[in-house]
Amino acid sequence: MSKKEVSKGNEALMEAAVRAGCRFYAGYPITPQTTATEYLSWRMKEIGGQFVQAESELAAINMVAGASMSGTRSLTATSGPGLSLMTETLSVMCGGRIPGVIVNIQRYGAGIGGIQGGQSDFYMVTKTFGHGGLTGLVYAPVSTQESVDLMVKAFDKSEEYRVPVVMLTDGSMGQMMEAVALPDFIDPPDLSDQPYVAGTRNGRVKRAIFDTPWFGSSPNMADNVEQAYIAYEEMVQKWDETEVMYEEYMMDDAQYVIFAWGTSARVAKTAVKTLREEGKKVGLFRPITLLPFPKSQIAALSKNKIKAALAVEMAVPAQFYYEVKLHLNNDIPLGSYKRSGGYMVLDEDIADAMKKMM
Amino acid sequence: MENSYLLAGFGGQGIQTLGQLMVYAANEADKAATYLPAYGGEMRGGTSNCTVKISADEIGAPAAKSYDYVVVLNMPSYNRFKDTVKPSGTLIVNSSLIADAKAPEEVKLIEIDLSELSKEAGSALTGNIIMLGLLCAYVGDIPQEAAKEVMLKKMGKKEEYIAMNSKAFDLGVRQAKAYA
Repeated sequence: MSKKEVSKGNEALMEAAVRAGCRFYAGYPITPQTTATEYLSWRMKEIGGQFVQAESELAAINMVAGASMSGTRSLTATSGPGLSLMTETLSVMCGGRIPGVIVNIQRYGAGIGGIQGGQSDFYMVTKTFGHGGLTGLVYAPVSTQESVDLMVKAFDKSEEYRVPVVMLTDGSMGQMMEAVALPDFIDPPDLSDQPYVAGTRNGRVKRAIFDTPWFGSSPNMADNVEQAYIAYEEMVQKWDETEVMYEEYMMDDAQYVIFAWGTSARVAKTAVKTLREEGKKVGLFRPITLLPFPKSQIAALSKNKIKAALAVEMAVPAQFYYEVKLHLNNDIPLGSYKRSGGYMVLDEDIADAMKKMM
Repeated sequence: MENSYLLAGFGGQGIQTLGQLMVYAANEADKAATYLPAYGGEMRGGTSNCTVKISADEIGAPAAKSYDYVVVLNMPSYNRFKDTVKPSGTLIVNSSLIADAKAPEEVKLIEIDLSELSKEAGSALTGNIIMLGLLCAYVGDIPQEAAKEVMLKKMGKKEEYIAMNSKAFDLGVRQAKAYA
């Protein structure tokens, strides 16, 4: 860890990717992601990596998939509308078991939405990566510091499971400046022996196309595909035990719980502090992985201890709220506080919404 | 102790630079600080604002509903933000562009003629640096020495700029003394 330096969220995160051994970036500029792409346009060159300003988001993610198949740690960053365009290849990457890290610096709303921050891509990345129902891991850092801390892990896990990993930040986190301690540099790992990497080995040409589930042990392609998807499901189910990350803040004696993720959770922490000063026993439960979602940890909250809960998000209609509701004990009343239109949730409003449930 | 600031003016007055310099300075003094810009289709002459928080401890929410200090450098910003000062907070207005400013009850009002002062500093572009000096001296959560040093480092190496910005910062500090 180096000394903390003031940095813009997007730039710190891209620097963290470089330090994590990422040597290929392809992206198409979109507010509020542009500063990330701009940063790597000169930084990749400096570090001896490759930077491509692609002609579209779909082209960018295709390049990322291709670069991963050459054994290079590869990254793209975009915002909601760009992620929509990438879904075709995200699905291919899941099906073909190709790693890669995708940073989604969220803006709010549907269609072009607006350029201000939001959290309305929750469903889009937690239910299925494109068509076909397959998913990778989804990290939702609460701050720039946590985002840079998670970057190495995002690449490691992406390669370990051979799935794309999505990191969700948002416009406000990307544009914000604060002091960040960047991770140390690591050398890009040698991935040439990985099964998804094409090329030559011992002078012989390895598989020149990606490892699709059609080609398995059976001559019957349908059987191979089904077997591959059964194995995929087993892998994803195991993530519930091995890959879940979450933070609990002041939960030990809490009678009321605020659920929030990302920037909303950061703001909610201030609300918890305010309510504690007023003598209210409130805690914060924050998923760090949205996929796998901390299902059993939420389900374990006791109705004998928790009187009410509130889900906070920057998405209207609510999304995260329903995911929490799915796992939370039905006898615990769950409220929803949400904003859209680029408005950040505010700690005073979160505290008021929580108090209304007391 | 956490202080929240809302800084607003028109594009070109150096509002975003002011907010960033505050965060750089606070970091030099090992304080936690956040700078959150309102971004979008800003342009020279349009409105520009940002939120800054400075604290001895970890900062949660980077935005706020109301602020301890609201700094407005033009009329549209005054109209939009004058009522967002916390009770017992301070409203700081640029009287060169905001005539007859009134602060809400329980809010302290500071009027600074930035046009005049920046002429004294040597350039109309130094208004934000004057404000930086004033805020450091008036509020006291960012050490003046750290702020001045980091500002001079970030704001250009030419000797004439260093002299100008140095003078502007000191002018701001001097203004603050009248309100101590």
